Amino acid sequence: MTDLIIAALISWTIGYLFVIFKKQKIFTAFYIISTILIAVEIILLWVNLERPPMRTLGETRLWYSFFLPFFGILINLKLKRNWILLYCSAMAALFLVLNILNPDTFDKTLAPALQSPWFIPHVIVYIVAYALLGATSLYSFVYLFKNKFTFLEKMSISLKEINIYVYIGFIFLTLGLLFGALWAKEAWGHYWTWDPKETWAFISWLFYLNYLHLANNKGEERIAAYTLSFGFIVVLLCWFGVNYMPSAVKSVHTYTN
Amino acid sequence: MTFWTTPWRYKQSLLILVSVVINGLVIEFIRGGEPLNAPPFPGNLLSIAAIVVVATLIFFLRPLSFFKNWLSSKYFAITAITTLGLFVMISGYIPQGTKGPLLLKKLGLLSITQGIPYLLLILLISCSLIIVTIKQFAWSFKKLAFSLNHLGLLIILLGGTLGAGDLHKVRMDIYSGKVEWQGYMPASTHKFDMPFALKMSRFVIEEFPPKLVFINNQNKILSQCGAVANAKTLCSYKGYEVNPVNFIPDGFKVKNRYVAVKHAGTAPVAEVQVMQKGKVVAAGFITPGSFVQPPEVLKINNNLFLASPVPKVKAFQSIGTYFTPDGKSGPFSIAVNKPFKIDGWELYQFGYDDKKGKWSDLSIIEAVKDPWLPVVYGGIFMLMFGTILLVFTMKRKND
Repeated sequence: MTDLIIAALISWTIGYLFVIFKKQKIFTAFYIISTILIAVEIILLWVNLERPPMRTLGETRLWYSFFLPFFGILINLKLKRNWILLYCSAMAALFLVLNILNPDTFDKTLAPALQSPWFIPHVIVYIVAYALLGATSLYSFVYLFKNKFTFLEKMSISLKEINIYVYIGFIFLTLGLLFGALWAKEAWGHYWTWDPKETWAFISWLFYLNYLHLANNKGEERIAAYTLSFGFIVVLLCWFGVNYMPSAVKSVHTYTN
Repeated sequence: MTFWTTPWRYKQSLLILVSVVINGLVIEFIRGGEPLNAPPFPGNLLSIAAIVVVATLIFFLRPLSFFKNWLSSKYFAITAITTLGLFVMISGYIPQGTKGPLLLKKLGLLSITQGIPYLLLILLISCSLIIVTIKQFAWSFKKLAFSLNHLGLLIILLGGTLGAGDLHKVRMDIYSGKVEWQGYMPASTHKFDMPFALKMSRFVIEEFPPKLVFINNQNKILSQCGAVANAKTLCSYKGYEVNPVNFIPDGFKVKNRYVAVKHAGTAPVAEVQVMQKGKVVAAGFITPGSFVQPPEVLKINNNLFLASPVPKVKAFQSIGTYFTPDGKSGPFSIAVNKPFKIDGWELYQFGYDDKKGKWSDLSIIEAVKDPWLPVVYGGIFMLMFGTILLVFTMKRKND
């Protein structure tokens, strides 16, 4: 099943060559082909595993590798900064390479706690949030460093233009957190137990809550941009990092391979 | 003009909130760092009422207007959210509980969310949420998202933190065929009567089909095969091909062979042949074993074996009859993600005897009573809808 993944990576690589020759439309075509190939891979995996492919770290990375380029192209229709497609595809490609280097055992089993109607909405909503917030994080990086590098000046965009995408990402982040609480009550008897995963999800949410309070304030654009840039690092700590922390031993929420 | 001339901004907010945390840690050290528990009803309700009254007084009393202005400012909000986030990060990194370095325990850092610094931050944030809700309240669609968000979060924080005083979580060990009316707190052996009794007629476990795996002599899994019962040619690894001969779902070893029998302690058994270049290089039985019989692996060579891990559990369920003191009785069925309700208690399938696996006659149930749940759920749904409405109100802000 890695054939489609490799095909997607090759498609992106060919697309990048056309970027060098400034053939933007051809690059976009290869970009869309890669995104579709990843979507097909997810569908085939779902059919083969006979369960939603959302249980392992590799499986969630695969979903992210679809949603990030997907939202990248949607956002670009409005903002028309083509470099965002390069970023989204590069980050998705990185995650796919990580999957190839750390292959899953593609286990069909699904633990009883995961057999719930909440499984799919909770994970999908979070991956969508991560994809949107990941895409907007680079806009904020460019905004922060545009004065230091002239090539970034042309790429830059005001935070007001990306606000809507951060807000939508925050909405999905909130829904993911609350869906998780409602599911936890059904599965484990309480909606919040300060499990390390829950704790880091709450911290991620607080980070973006801060952005919402900063976003429209005059004179605080730089603080807002820093919050947005580093917010995604907190998201990565919640998504992957928590598995490597000392607190992980007490977590019922670590990914299983 | 001095540093403390109002209105207070970021520097003053940071100084105040960091001082709150530090002073909280000092108080924790003095009291030994033991986790604080919320008071039960009516203490928790009175505490919430007191917070609401104090916040309302801050809002309306003129001499406290500087405090009102600060608590309803973005400077407080952003600093408080940052302080709370950074402080809670400690609990996200350091395992929480009773065991840990003594200094961390004495500072209350092994039970952060039941410690004074955290509770003081929640208290200030709650006051702020009450004040901004009063300040911004208006019967308009634009303000609805704001009100729902802030009020929803307030209800979750106060209902969840103080409502925990009335939360009961009790474990019950129920055995097949026996009536159990007593429960115990986790990590305690003291048993007490519950307001209902449970008689489990059967405990049902469904397992996923067992698998075969190639392992080395360090027990490291090198390659995984498909489910034992489902394929004609199971799998191959480095030129070795596994061919199934027979599969016994419930087998018991008798002398040098396995027989199919329905008895506690049976295990799935696969009889296989391992071929290399068309020749049989190994043949025999493979089983994960059970609590009464050992596992069996098949040796292919000195560094390659075929083994069967203990099958993963697909579902487990307790079925039986419940009884209450007022004479009510009826059937119950408890499974993971499918709790059962009796008289305000929700019963969850917590676990079973892992060693006996599918032959477990013990089911561990967790009974939970949380009278504040509807309150917190109300807050959750308010926050959910208020957040979704942000898109519509946000659009108007940018126009």
